[in-house]
Amino acid sequence: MDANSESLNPSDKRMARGGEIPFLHFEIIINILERLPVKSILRFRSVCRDWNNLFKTQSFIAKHAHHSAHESPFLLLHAYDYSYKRPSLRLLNQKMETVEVLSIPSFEVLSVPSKYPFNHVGKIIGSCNGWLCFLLGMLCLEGCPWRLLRLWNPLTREDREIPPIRRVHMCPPISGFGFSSIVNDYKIVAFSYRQKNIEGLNHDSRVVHVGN
Amino acid sequence: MSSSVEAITVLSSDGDEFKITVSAAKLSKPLNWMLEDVCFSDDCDEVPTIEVNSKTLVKVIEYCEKHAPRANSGASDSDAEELKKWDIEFMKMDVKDILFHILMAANYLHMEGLYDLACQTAADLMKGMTVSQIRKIFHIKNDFSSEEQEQLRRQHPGCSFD
Repeated sequence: MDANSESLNPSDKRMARGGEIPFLHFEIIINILERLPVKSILRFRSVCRDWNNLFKTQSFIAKHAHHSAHESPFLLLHAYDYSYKRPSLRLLNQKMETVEVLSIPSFEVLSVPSKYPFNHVGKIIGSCNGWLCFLLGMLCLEGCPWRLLRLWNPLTREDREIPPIRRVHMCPPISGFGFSSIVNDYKIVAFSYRQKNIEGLNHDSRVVHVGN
Repeated sequence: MSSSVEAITVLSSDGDEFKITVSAAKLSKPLNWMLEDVCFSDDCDEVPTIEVNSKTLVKVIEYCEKHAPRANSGASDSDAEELKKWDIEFMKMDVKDILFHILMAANYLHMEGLYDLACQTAADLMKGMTVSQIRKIFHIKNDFSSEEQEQLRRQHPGCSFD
């Protein structure tokens, strides 16, 4: 490699003088922002309207999730924590070391009679783009006709109430959670069944759109 | 396309001449197309201009020359590890001043590896910055109305606009 010019060229002088920073295309800025940790993204939503809106778009969230999954895969462990005598959520790194103990939120549920104390995480149904879908606790309660699901984002601490699902059969339903790019919304599929006889299953299924 | 040529000469946007080996130039798609289209021989008068300033082009060529052997032949894991370390050092140097120029050059020259590296370096630098510092380096004005700022503060306690 030969640089024929040893002396400062015009662009060098400009740099040396005031460190002029060039304007980047928004596309390039987006590619940088996708590589930021979530904490920085939350901090930078107050930079300007464009950024605040960008961080809410599905395409940005998906690309960001793609990068962070490559950079630092984490495992979320939901277990009973004997030192705290309560269920806990722990974020583990690749070496299985605890990075963070997340305090499990207690949720208010207004849509169901208060004799059923649904207020903590019973079971994690699934996760998608940073959102966790929980089955709220105390659902093993005999005779309780409701299944309550809740979305919670452990990093942004946002939560989203899902309309209660009244269960038809006493068997615990199988549920799944994911994002549908067709309807551009998160979807929860719940399927409950009862084995009637060897010939077939009696089942009830439903799909819940979470809504933005 | 002339396969006998080992290095080509290019001009920076400042008009300075630079030599780059053919194998290194292949890391850039546009340069690779140029190699296929234009006759690069010693008696060829045409010297293509790359719209990148000299200071940035020096760094871009340095990156290409370092990465070319691996890109062209594939390499062992130890080489990959060594290259990763080199990348970190490469980005540590005085690059901070010209990082955005390198980003634009890597984008313009379709150099995926350098572009990813520069994006990640920029993101790492941003982590420690305040909101005002971020606005400054990206030439952004705070365009939130006072009502919107109030609303964001309500929704996200601790949210700072400075």
